[in-house]
Amino acid sequence: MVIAENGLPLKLITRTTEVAVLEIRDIWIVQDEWWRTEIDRQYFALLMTDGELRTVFRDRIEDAWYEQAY
Amino acid sequence: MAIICLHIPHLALRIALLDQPELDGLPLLLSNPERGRATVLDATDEATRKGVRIGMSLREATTFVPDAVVVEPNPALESRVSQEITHNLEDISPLVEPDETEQGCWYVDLLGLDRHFTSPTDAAHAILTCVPTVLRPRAGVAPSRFTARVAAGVARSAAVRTISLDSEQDFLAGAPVTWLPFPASMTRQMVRLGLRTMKDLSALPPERLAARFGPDGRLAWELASGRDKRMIQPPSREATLIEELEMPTPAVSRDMFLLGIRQVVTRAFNTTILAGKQVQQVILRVFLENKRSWEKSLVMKEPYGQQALIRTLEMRLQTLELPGPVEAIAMQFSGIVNSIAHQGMLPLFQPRYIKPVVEAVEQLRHRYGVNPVYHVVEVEPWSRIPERRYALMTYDPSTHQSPSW
Repeated sequence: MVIAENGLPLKLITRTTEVAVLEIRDIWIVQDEWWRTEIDRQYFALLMTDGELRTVFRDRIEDAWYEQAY
Repeated sequence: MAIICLHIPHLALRIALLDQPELDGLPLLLSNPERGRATVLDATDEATRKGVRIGMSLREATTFVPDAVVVEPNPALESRVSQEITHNLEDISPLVEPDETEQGCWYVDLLGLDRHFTSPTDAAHAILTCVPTVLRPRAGVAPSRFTARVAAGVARSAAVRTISLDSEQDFLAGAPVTWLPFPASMTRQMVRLGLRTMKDLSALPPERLAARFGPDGRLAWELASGRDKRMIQPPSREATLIEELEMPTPAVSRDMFLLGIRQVVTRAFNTTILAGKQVQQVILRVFLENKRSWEKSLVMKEPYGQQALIRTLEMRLQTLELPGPVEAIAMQFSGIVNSIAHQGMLPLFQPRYIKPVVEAVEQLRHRYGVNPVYHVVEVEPWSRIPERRYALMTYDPSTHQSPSW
C-alpha cells in the first residue's frame, strides 16, 4: 500500500514492513492506448529510507497505487 | 623524391610460367573451364593480338587462337609469389605498398635512399632483379605515384621508364583516361564527354570535374595534370603466421584432408607466436595436383583457440567437395590475440547440455502436471509500458531452438 499526500508518495507499507520515502528521484507520466483500454499512469522513482530504489505508479483512471516490479 | 612502380602485367597467367617456362611466348588464356560457361579471364599480348578479348567465351577465343594454352587460376601460388615479391622489395625500401586495386602492381618510395643508389633508375633496376624474369616485370620511375604507374605501363619488359619532374606533364598529356585508377564506368563516361586523354582532362577547371564526378573528378584532374599528392602507405603490420604441410600422399578423401588441417593447426599453436593465443582469421590455401589451387578466407565471430578452431574448420569444411587430390595445405593465421575467457552460460541455456535439461523438464512435468519452467522472451521491447516489454513463455527444451553460435 502506498501512503500519499498531495499526490506524492510518502510511505510504502507491506504486510511486514513500513518504509518511508527518502527522496523522489524522478517523475514521469505514461498516457497510451486510448484507442482500446486507456492507460494513464504517473510514475515515481523512489529512494527509500532503507536504501532501496523502487518504482511506483498511480493509475489515474482507477485512482489506485501499484508498484512496478519490472 | 622518386616513386617507383613495379608492374607485372597478367600476373595470374605468368605465374604458370614459373613451373613451365617453355610456355613463354605462346598465347596464354586464363580461364576456369570447370565452372559452367568458361570465359577468358585474362590473356597475354600474344593472344590479344590475334583478336581474343577478356570476357569472351573460351570456345570463341580458341577459334581465334587454336594453339592457345589455357591456364587455370592458381590463387594460392599468386598469393605466395606476391608475398615473396613484397618481402624482396621491403629489403630495398621500407616504404612499399602493394596496389590493392590492381594485381601485380607495387609502389616503392625511395625517400631517404639517395646514398644507396646512384639514381632512381638504378634503384628501379635493382627492383627488377627482385622478380623472376619469366614474369616479365617492368618499372616506371616518376616524381609521383600515378605518373610512375603510367610510366611502368608503357615500359617494355625488364626495362625501366624514367620520367623527370620537367617532362611529367608532357608525358601524361597523351595517356588515355582509361589509365586512371577509377571504375571503368567513370572513365567510359569521360570518353563519352569527349575527354579522351589526360591533356583533355587537365585543360578543364577542376571544379567542373568535381561537380560532375564528385571527389573522384577532382582527383582525376590532379592525377592528369601531374599533381598527384598521394603518398606511399605501406600496409599496416599485423602479426601473422603461415604454416604449411606437404601431404605424404595426395589426399583424395575429405577425412585425410581434415586430418591435414588438424595437423597444421596443432603445429601452428605449438609455435611461440601462437602458443597460448587465439586467432580470428584464417586463410586456407590448398595446393592440388596439376598445379592447381584454391584459397578460402575464414573470419570467425570471435577469436578461437586451437581446439575450437579445429572444430570450426571441420564444421565449415564439412560440405567441401575437393576439386582434386590435395598435395599441400598452407594456412595463414592472423588476428592473433591473447587468450580471452568467457563467462559460461547458465546450464539451462547451454545448447550442448540440452539433453539433461530435456530430462529435468520432463521430470518436473510429471511431478507437477504442468511444465513449471519458463523463459523470458522479448515481446515489445520498445514499449513505454514496462510490463509489455517482456513475457514469460513456457520453456520446452526439446523444441527450443538453440542459439546459433
